[in-house]
Amino acid sequence: MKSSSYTSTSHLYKFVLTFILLPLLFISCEKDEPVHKATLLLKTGALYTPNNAQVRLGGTIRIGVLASGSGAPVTYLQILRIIGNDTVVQVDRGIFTEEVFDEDFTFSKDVAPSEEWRILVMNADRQTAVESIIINRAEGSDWKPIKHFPSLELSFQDNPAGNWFLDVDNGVIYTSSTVTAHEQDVDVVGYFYYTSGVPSPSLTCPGYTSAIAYYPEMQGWPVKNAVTYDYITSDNNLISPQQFDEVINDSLLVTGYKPDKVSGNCKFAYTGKVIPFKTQTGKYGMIKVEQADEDSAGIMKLSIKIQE
Amino acid sequence: MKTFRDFSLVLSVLFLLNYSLSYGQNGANGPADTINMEQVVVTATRTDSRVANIPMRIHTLTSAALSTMPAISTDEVLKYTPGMNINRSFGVLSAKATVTMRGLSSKEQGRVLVLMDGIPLNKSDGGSVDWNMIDPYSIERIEITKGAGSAIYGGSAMGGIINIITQKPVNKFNLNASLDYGTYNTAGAKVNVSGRLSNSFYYAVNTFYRQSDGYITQPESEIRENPYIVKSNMQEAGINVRTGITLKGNNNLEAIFKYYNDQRGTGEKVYQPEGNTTDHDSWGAILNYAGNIGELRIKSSAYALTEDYKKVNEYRKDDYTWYNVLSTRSDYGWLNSATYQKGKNLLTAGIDFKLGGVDGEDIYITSTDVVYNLGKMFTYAFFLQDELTLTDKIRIIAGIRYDNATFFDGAFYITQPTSETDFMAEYQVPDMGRKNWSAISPRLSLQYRINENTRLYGMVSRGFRPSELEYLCRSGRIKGGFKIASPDLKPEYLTNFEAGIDFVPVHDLNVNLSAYYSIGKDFQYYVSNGQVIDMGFGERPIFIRDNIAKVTISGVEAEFKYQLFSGLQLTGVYAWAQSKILDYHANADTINLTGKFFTDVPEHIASLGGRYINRFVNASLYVRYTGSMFVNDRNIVDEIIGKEKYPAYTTVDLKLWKDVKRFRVSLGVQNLFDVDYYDSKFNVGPGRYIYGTLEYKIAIR
Repeated sequence: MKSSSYTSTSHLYKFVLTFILLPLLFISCEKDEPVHKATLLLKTGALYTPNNAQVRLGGTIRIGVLASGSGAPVTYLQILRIIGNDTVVQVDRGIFTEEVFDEDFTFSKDVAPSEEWRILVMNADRQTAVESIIINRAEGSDWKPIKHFPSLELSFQDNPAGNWFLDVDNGVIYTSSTVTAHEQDVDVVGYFYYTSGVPSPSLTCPGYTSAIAYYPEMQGWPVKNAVTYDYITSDNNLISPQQFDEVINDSLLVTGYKPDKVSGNCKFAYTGKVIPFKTQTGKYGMIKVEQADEDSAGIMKLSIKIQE
Repeated sequence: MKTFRDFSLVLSVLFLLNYSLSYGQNGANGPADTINMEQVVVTATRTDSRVANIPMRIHTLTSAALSTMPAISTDEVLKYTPGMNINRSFGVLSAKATVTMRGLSSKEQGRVLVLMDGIPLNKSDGGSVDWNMIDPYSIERIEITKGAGSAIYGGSAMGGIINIITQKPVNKFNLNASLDYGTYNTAGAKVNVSGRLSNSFYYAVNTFYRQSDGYITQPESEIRENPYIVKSNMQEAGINVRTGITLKGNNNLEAIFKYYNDQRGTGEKVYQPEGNTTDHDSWGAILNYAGNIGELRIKSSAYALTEDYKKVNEYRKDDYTWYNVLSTRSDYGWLNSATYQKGKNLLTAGIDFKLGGVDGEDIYITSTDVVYNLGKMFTYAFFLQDELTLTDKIRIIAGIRYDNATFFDGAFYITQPTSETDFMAEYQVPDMGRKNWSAISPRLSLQYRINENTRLYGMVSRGFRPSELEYLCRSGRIKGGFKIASPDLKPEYLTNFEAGIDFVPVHDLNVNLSAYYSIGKDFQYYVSNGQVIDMGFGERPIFIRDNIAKVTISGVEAEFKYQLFSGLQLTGVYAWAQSKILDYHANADTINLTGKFFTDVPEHIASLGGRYINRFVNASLYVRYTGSMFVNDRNIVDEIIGKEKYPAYTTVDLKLWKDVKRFRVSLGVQNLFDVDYYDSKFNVGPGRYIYGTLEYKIAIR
């Protein structure tokens, strides 16, 4: 018969062993995942603006982006316009592309004598690649003519007239029945709702996910254009209705659009507001809200100026 | 003694459901409630004390009672106890549950201390408790102590204490295995093995696994707006290992190891293989010592609990957003007490230490931003308690505790910000400095036994609670808005007055009543500051955690238990609570809330239930009424539900079971009539949930 002290020691040993070994059983060996490198190429050729190009004021800057995550999805694109110490975010977009990201972007030359355009892409491993081009201002200006569509009546979601879908490029409004085969032309829709109890007539676009809550038929559209509205200019009334009325070329449309860090596909649009925007195809425009009803069966009366 | 037995039945709302779990030994349909006033509980005083000797309101649920309840998770078994406010939005699919009591919001766990074998489970980060880690099968009993317990446990206990006592092996060998299957293709398995290798060494291993296809948890309004909504699914697994040795001189050394992992879909999927998910990876190690040194009874416990929390967030609004939340929440502590009997006085003194921390990052994958929130809280405390048996009829417990808490290494900042986080850039606080608070929390309670059938008690106590780290050092999105870190948030104080009576008006009818009135000072509360913020998808309200100068919480609780005839027991509980803001010193930018009521506190909660034991099929049935409660801090109409209050609702839960030798077959139905209701977060509940269980048990003595 073993002594009691031996028994106690033996059990103590088991106890300690159990306590130490069991946690180790649950510690798994995690395999290190490879980190994929992001790559970025700017397209070259006659269509694209090269490094050290001379571009006239208001002239088109075209940047073609080819990016790969080298095995990880490309998840982020940022395009900055840097003038001295002033940086303006022109594109700041989350994406998810498992193939090569291939997209062209157009902008207009600013008044700055020289500006750096810095393009950054990132992949799902948070690996980044950066390219820059310098663009100088050439003599003269290249402001372009614009189109003006006054007093367009856009219906809200519950309006039986159903004039819901606006092609801002041509100033055409479609209904549910007439929009067929024109889905790719639609840029703007309006809707009305309450935010924190406040009536909120709003502008959005087919590319905004939540817009389908008001227009479910857009869910099946083959192309859903996204329009980016400038929050800063409209929220702070930086452009007056009078300035809007005086616009005769795309100068103010381009310089008035301040994407900065806060812009999006959905904007409150109260009566009297002037809202700069940029279409998916890169055209700059401006909306003057002449009337915005506070009723989901109401209308918005809009005056629109847009680059030709 | 019979009277004391009756008292014990009153003190525990679900004692009526007790019956033996020792299949084949005591009979599966055994009638007896196993706890009475002689029951020794350990929570209320940190000593081993009989319920009859504690002048407080204590409820105790035994494992036998739990096994007959139509409940799946541990928190659910508490909802038939008076005054308990439970939130488990998605039933078995919920990543989080809260259990509070007596007029405290069901959104916050931090004011009710949850212990497991005396070890605090509330995280220093947000005060939450991972109820999913606790397998009901591993529980020996649950002790619920009402009223402020800060004089013995510190701040988290200011609203009450729930102590979950797990089973300590008593047999040579025990095996308990089960399979279950339920609505939403939910399937699970559990195995409990325990035993004693000799009189001195024991072990217990408890494992469980469950998975479910889930259901769509978003309301119709969200489904219309979001084409990426999918079912919220889940899978979880856990293991608890307990091993101990009893040495000479009644000294016991014990080690406990816990591991739990789950992954739960949160109902949206754009590109990620599993969509939006939460993932908890939790570890725990506990070392307990209890023994005698001379005439001193010593208890000492050291613990380390960590949780690696990962949340994948992806959504598509203007563009695609994907970010991962990685947060390590850790709590380390050392609890010590010594008890000494001196005549009519049982003296207890102790010292506690606790270090809690959070190290969190929101790592954006669709932009360069990384958002950090960090913080630590160190607390040390001394306490002293005297349990005085003055006469046969009068018993007094007096206690006092000193707590000293230090908040340090707090920070909230962003690196490489883009438009994703630009809106929160102004709220960065890279260094929150060092803050220290201290307070004394006293408690005095008195019991007077009028006669064999009637007991009166009264209690006055004061609780002190510094904020959790979550509120001090994290700003970020929350459901329905944006919250701002409040590093200058002051501790809150709650002074509680309580009285109660237990009596037996007629044979086999046990009744108890309690009434309480609490005054809160600098009460911590989420309030909207009247401002809005645009986080990229429209304007949303900003919330801050603020100190409310004065609040009151008042309420009454009643409970009865009636043995109608052999085999049939009825129980009923009712609780009324009113939590009101008396004085809120509104800043210029904030909204005056004076005179408003707390959100997420049902004014009335009632349940009526019973258990019928017979030789055919046993049954338990509970009807629970949850009263209306205010939706927002301003008590104004909410846009989503169109009212200022969530409507009241009534649910019925049922369980049927049959024991055949070592097997038990059971069928449970929660929310029998498939009642739709809003919980406190606008979530869509699981509706009627049906589940079946097959259990097998062996006990070798």
